[in-house]
Amino acid sequence: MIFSLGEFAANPIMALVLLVLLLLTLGTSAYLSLQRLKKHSLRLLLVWLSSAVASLCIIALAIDIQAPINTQPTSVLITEGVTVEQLNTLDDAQNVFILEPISKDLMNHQAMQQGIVIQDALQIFNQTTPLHALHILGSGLSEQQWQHLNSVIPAKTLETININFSPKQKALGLVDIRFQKTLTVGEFLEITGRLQSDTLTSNDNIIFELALLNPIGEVLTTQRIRTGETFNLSAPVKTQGQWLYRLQLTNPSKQLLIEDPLAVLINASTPLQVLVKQSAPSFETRHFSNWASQFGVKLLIATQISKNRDIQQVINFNEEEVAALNEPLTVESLQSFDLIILDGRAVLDLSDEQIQTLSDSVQLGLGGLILVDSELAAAWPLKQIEWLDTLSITPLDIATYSSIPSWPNSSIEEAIDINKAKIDSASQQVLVTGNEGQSIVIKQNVGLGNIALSLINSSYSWQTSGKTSEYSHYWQSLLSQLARPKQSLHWQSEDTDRINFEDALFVQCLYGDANSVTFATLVNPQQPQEIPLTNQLLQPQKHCLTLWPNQSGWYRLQASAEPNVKRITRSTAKTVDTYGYVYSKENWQAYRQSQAIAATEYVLKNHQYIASSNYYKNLNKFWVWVALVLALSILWVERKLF
Amino acid sequence: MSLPSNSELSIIQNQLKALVNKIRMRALLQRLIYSLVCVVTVWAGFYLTIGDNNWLYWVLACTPLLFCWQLTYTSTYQKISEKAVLQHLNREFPECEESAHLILVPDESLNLLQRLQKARITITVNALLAKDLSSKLPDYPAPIAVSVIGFVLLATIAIKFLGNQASHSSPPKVIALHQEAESTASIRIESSEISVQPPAYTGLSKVETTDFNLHLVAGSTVVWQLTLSSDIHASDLGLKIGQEQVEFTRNSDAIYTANAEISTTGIYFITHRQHAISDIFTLEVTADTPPNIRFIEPTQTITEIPKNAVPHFVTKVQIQDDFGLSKVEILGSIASGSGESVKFRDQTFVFDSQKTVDGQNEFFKEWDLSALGMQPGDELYFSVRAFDNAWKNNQPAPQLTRSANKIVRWLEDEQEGIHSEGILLDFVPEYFKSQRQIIIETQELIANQDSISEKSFINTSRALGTAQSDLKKKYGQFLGDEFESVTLHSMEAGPSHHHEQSEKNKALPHPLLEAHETQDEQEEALREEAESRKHHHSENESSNDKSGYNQAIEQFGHAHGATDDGNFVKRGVPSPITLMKRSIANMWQAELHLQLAEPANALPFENQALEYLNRAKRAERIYVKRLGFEPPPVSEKRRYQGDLSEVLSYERKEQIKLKKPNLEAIKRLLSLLSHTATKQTKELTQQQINDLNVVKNYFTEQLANSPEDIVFIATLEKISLTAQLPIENCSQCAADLRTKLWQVIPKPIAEPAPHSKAYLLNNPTVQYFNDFMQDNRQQGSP
Repeated sequence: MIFSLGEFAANPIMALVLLVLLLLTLGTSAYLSLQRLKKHSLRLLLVWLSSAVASLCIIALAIDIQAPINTQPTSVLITEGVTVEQLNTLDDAQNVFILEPISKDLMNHQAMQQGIVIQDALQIFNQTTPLHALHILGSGLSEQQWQHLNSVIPAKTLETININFSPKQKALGLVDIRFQKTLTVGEFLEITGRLQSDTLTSNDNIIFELALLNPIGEVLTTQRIRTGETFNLSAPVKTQGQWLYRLQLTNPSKQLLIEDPLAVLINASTPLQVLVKQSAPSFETRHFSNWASQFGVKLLIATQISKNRDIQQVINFNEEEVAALNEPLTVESLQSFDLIILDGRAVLDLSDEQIQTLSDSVQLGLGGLILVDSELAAAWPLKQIEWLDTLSITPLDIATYSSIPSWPNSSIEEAIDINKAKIDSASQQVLVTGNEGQSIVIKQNVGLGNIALSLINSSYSWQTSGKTSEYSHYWQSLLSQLARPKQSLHWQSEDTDRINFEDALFVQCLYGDANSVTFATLVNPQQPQEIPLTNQLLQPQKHCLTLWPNQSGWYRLQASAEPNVKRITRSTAKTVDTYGYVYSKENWQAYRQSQAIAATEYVLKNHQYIASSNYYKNLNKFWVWVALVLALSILWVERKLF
Repeated sequence: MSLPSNSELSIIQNQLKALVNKIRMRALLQRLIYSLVCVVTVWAGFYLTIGDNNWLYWVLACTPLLFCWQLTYTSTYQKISEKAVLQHLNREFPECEESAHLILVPDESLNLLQRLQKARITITVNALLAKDLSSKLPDYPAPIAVSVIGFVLLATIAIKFLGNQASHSSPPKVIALHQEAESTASIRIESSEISVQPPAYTGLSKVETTDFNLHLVAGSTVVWQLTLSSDIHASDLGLKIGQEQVEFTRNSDAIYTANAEISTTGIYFITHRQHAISDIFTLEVTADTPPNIRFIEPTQTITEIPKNAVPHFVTKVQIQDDFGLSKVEILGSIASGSGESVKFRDQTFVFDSQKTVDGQNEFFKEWDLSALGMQPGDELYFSVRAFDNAWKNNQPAPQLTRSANKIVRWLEDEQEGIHSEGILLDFVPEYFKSQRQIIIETQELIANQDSISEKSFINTSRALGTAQSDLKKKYGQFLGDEFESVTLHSMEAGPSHHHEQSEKNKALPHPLLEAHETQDEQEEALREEAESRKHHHSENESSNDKSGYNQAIEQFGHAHGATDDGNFVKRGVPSPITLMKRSIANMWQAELHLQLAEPANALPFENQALEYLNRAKRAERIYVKRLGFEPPPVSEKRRYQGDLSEVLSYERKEQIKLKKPNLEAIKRLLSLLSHTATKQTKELTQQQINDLNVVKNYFTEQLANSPEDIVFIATLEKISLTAQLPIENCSQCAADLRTKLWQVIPKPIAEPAPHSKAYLLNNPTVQYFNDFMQDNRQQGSP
């Protein structure tokens, strides 16, 4: 038999004080009854005895008393995805905890009738029976649930529990899903993942068809896939807004097996500032400026028209900005640009001072794109630009040089004339490759910025031959690799491998100046809320909000950089907003279960169980209650009768 | 003093009862007024929010009666009795000496003194009751309640009146569809019968339907016959078809009838005093299409009959029209003689016979050139004209289709071809309009656009298009193109792999071709490999050839390569075939715009076509020149010595108009439809209504090409009228509209995207890392 303080373990002094009070009360009572019943010794004995029994009963009820047993008692935690077969293995002696949500069909099972329904896994530690062994059935606990458990339950307590896990049979479904949640118009929505096999049914030889559908249900692309195989589907996104694309899995008889949504936020174009410095007008830069300017990109095109004369064309700048850009090749001016495009001869004509300015600006984050031509190739390496010595250009002595360029998700199939040179970089960052594997556009990080060399200077021919989509995608992919990262206050894109579900943690972070951020507002159709942002210790410019959405759908998140703003309204300045999607628990079931199984298996793999040969169970205190009531009743009757 | 007689007492009691009733009536009236306060307030609330609802108002109207009935059972009401009235008289009139109530007490229960007092007071009370006591009786006033009722009524009337004024002043399209005037609300269409009578010339029978959404042929007469739930003036009932209002007439059976001739696709609804009492319906009109002519024989533009052959040939034409043909004829022109003495003779011919083959009308004519007075060396040009049987505005308005021209040449001598490197360059017969002539006539047409009628402008433009088509086909035949299947893309890009294959196939005789098509993939791969090796071999050879002799042979001499590989870029030297193909590609575009009556758009393509034609003719000379002359590269010194005196400014500012309004409105509307909850009603903002109208106008503009889009206009009209989403009684409408809007948005043009990796440059960690990298770099460099 083991006696322990139980609930008082956390505060033994309080327990001692209460015990002293109890003993004092008992002593006082004994003295007073002695005074009252001096002549009635039998009654006095009865009162003393009853008082002592009552006091002992109170102490016994307050503390924990455990009796040794021979076998290890096991508790069972039933989680989502449990099967009938698993429930049939349970016996009546086990303590059963049912963690919600659980399929309603299973609630009628006999094993579930005697179980205790809990909403939080933490509740299994609040039971009177000490937990020696825990058997988890179903998909197990998610990563968040384990983190919560570990943060509340002391490690020593967990170490004494023998935890076993019987994962559910895996069902056919899409797992390891990764896709970008935030895109720009024209970018490719690329979804990768794996088709998980159904362990119950043998379907290894079936060839399924996985289709990506757009928001109105048109099939964009398909892939034939067997179970266990990975898939990769991609399609360009069409228009700005919040859209639900879909993935559909069908079997060979075209029967729909699985359909899951893909929430994608498609943002407007980014208002970049680009400086073009060229030795002569060219169709390449002309078509580039035509494309970029229609999306609000601010362009300054400096074209050399004479030996010592440039002509400047400014597009989409206002008067004030134009005045500030009188001399664009200074560190201050270049700070406002995100990218500079130079042709080969313009590079050769740069003065030492301008080269130093360019070097400093690139070190501070500016992106540079040099369109290589024969003069630059012949003159390379340049002594005055030694900071680019990791890039190499070798002229090729051939009559013509053409290639089919290829970059991620490109669809160009025709050859294009490229400059007769071979380019290479120490970092091996190739942005565009040719059909023979040669580098056509390469990139080198320089400080916080980067410099790229391109052999393509007639990409406009795609535009003029009607391949506008391909042309725009080419430049979009270059800009996304080269331009200076966004520096203003903005919401961070969600992780590609994370899917937010209702009744689960939802974290979204904001990047920006810590002093200026006031708060974020969560807006869903029903209930706008103001959620405080918490700063990250290691990244002071990162501010995150955390919430537990209980409803699926789109959530709008707004923040303002305006100081002293109490509430964000339409008139609030400097607001940045984004949308996050919360999926219903009905969606991505295989994904959720595989995540939970993986998290549980990972935790158990690292779980250290310190086995004990002695097992105890809590003493049933029913008879102590009976004794207490009886003793108190005797005392009451004695007092009333006599 | 004598005791009061029974008759006296009975009179007094009757008078007392009358007084009691009067007071009770006052109490009831007060209760009625109080209950009316509640009822009127509740009614006003309902009336202003949910509008007319008769059964609810009847219930409300009965409520005060319930209150009053309930009052009669209360003790307060029951206490109003004769005794209480007499007690009241005691208080009010001192002459009653606090004894008036004795009148109701029987004499037996009174003592002597009381009886004497009763006798005395009976006279007094009798006298009092004879007077008008109204002012002395309790009057149960309710001034506040009356004020409240008055205020509520006035406020309701004011709100309703001002609301109506406001709704009248707002644009009519924003009037809620189901919130019509009071009199209109109760009008419902009990039954309907619609008959559609297509125009007589179509031969289609009359159609009767109850579906208000109609599909009909242009010019159909539609008769609507309606039975309404209430009898109204026929002049109040109307049919709003687009901007036009059609009135109903009423017959003796209370059936309202309206009819209209429908020629254009549109929407309509039924109105009562300008208020819509029906849903919005569509009229999808199918226009009568002009006849379609297809030559079965001869298929070639030019048919040549040798000098010594029998000058006979057959013309077989298939002509289709949706509702029948009224006239088919052949316009012929015979050219005889040559040079300055050429003579033309125009003549109209008819087909010899007509028969129906597989439901198609086929026309036949057998020509005998000798019978036409032709001789060897003469030429016959002819085209077929077909008129359909269409009527417009009660008179025939046949639509005409003219086929392409066919040329029959009765050869005088053997042809003397001028071949240049395997191609016949100077082959254009005189009877074709030259490219230069087409350009001149197009320029003339553009110049005359304002001075000639629109019809004439269109016809001339189409005639030029036909001429351009003929010229294009002529050149194309010599290049071996299949015009039915070749697109502009393949023309511009040169022959594709598929085209190469078809070219190869062409060279094979028929049995071989069939065998070739059934070869398996392995054989195909082997052949491709062999071809590829052969090609590489020749390329290697040519790369070693400094004189360019082999290259010239390969390009112009080797027929297979010359036909197949017209890639301008790869060769670096323009091949005449490539130039010819580019010329023809431009002719395609020019023809397209001419046929669409857009000569201004066609002109650049015509010029380009001529340019390529001329270059093709000169190509050989250019090639020779290049062999002999290699210009030196331009030096920087020479290049930048331009005269800058005419450069006025070294700065140019530009503001680009960012978005297309139509497309932006479509995108916004699409987003709105996609994110509107299906259950929760959402009122639209003015901006959203404007977007609706922009999109509606867009669809209206497209209606001529796609009349089926009328359903989307109807959906937009429904949303616009109710100014709210979702659409009542039509959940699929919004989904269909959403699908259509998505499809209308063109293929995406990628927009500038932010850097794929987001980090803040002023982040201390990033800066430390940068400093660290720079330090490393400096240490690494000597």
